[in-house]
Amino acid sequence: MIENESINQVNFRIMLSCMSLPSSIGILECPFEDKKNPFASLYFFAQLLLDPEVSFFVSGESSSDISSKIVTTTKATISTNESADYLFLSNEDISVEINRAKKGTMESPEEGATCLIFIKEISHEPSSFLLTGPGIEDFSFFPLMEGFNLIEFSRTFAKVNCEFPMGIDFIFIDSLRQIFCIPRTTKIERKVQ
Amino acid sequence: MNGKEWLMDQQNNKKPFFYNFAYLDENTKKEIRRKILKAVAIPGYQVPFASREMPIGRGWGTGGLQLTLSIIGCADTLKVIDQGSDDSVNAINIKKFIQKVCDIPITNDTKEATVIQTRHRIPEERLEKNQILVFQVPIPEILKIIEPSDQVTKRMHAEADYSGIWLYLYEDIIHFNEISIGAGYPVMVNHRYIMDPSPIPRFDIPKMNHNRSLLLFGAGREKRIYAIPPFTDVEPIEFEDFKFRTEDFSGKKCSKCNATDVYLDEIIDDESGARSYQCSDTSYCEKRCQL
Amino acid sequence: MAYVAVKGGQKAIQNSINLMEYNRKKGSSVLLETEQIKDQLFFLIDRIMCEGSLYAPDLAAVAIKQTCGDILEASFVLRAYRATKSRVGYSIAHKTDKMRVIRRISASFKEVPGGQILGASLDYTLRLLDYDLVKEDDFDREAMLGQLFPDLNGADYPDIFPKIVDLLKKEKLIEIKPLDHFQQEQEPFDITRESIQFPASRSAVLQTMARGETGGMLLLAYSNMRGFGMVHPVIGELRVGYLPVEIEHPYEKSIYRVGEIKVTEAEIISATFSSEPSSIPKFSLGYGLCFGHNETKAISMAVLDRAMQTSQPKSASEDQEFVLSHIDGIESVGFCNHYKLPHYVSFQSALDRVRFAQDKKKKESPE
Repeated sequence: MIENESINQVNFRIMLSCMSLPSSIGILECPFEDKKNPFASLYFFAQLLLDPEVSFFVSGESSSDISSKIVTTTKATISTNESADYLFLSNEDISVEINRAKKGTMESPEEGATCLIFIKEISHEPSSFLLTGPGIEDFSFFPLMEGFNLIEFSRTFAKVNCEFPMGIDFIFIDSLRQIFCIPRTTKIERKVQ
Repeated sequence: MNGKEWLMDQQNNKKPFFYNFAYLDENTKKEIRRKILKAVAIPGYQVPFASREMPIGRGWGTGGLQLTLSIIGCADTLKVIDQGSDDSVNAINIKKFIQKVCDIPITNDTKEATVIQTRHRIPEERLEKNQILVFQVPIPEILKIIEPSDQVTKRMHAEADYSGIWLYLYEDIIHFNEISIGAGYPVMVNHRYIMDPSPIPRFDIPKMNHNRSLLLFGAGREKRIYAIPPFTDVEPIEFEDFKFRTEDFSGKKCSKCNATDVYLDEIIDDESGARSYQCSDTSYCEKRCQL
Repeated sequence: MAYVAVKGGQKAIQNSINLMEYNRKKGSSVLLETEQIKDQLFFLIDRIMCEGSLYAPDLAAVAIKQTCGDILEASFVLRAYRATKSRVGYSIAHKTDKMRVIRRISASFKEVPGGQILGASLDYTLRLLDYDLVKEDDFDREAMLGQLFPDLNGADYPDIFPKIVDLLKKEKLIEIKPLDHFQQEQEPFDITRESIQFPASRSAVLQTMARGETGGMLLLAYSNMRGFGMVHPVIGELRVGYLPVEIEHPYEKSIYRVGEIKVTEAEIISATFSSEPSSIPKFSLGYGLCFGHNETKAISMAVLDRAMQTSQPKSASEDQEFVLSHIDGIESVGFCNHYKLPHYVSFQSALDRVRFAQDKKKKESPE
């Protein structure tokens, strides 16, 4: 338990750093190697932030296994896509899921969901998508992510975040425990050469 | 010592009431951490949080303290200042408490600290990307100067209806040819929210614009957390023909280190009635004196 | 003398703390035992538990001793301690008609089923200072206790007292539904887990008042009673007694009683007609409940509960945001006293403004 709490603190600082500086890629710490479980980083995230006061939704295959494990470790409640505070999405159909997630209200924009997208690998190669906004010094680039449709994502992102302060915040996690955060204040634009 | 060692030490000493590492229990920290992340995603917006009572009084920094305790860990070095000084009553009490509940190195050196908790000042030395500045905030709602009801001010922020505060400044100018707000001057964050920067002097406001560090604000009694990420636009609200003005120290310098481009405390020499000035940022002054 | 000495602030603080300890111990009297405080200053214990929001008589006694009788500071110590405890579960909600009553009165009717039980109360004592208490000893104590009980026989004392407001509800004289602008709640709001937003639900209102500071709540209720409001209360029933604390076993699902708590409950009938636009005029109710024996607080709470249900608030006691934002003793005391902290940086900034403004004025009209 105490080991978990120390790890949670370290990982929270990494996450906070990535959310406040959206151009950076962080690596979550892990007290043990769990090579058999590709979703280990996902559980670290859940353990870090979830508790009985919040709700979550898991999409894709293995969703019921993942959900029950999250409930056991955190006692958070399972919810629908539309009302969950935290969504755990894998690469399939994410636009559909993201469009249905809650964006908060003008009076309470913090009620907008946080979407955690689990992908295979966040590379350190820049894509052609430019990032600007709070937390980014001048500009930065969205990293290339294998098998991830950035064009569709940038469109969905712009759509759900068009009525700032309402919106959704995103965290990408890969199987190597790397994380990359995009808060709703970021502008994602295709760089035209 | 790390968290595990901390707990073993508490149990071995058979203390009847022992505390979790950094005092707050894990669920309290989680709630605050969730809210911090949302605050960072919506710069300048006040996120409500549950807010625990702490062993120091409400109004004495419980908000800033809860933020510090939720983020701090063994790899951190902490600095706590009040009115710019490491040795002020409030700063000392807070450091005493934090050292009692977790074993973190404390420093007076702004450059060495990874987390700085402050009451009413931003340090003179530039902060960097790996640092976090935690502000103690007595009254987080800047619109209280025109409207006492939280219900109404919440709607004003939702609609970005800030006409009331512009009018307040305008009326000051008409009556006194001067804006009356001294410290805690309203700022516009990321071109969307007007925010109370806490009672820091106007002198410190320009430091907030595109600061390289993360700025976190905690109001424990009012139960609000807000944040400004690094590299964010922060502008004091001003009229085209009546510009924002910082405090005037022209012709004055610190009597200890001779600095002229810092915020100065006015000292009254009660024997002769003469005035002298000293750096408000005492650790910066000491550094300069040692050079 | 500055209290920001460049070095030495720490020493000054430690000396201040030592001086407090010294003041507490320097007298020639015997040091107080916490058991004495618990046994003999029970109204004080009850008030501290109520405003500290923690039912723990032993700990309240320590807090009172530690703070040398400063009620607000003692409540603060207890509340801060409460904040360190993690939530392990929820007790079963109970209706209070099964309360083990030790005092029960109604002002609405001369005689009520079950009877008017005066119980132990200061209400009927004469407020004449009793100088005999200066030299009281155990011999007097034994004598008094010896006299008291032999005269009693097993008098008729009902196990359960019917609720007077229930009888009025049966006759349809009292508004039963909560008034329109309160939301129907499935689960009670928890003010220690979420910060309250306005308009607040009824459970949030009652929770905030249950831990509210007695003086502050009395002030607001009194203002309403004097005409800054329209509650016009009549006490339907005031009870002091014990409620069981019961929990459900997590696996067996059987019920276990883990203890009992002393509470004061006030149900007031507001004799102004309910403002619900129905054809039949009815009375409405206000409800108050707090830890320990504190009748002033329970009555004030019930009056404020009814006052805040007004659909068109005109006075302070009817304004939900005003009442709930200002009755927490720990918050108000903290903020009031924080003004003693150094504020010279912001004061310097204010001086700058006023000097600048004066300079401008002088330049405009030089004399």
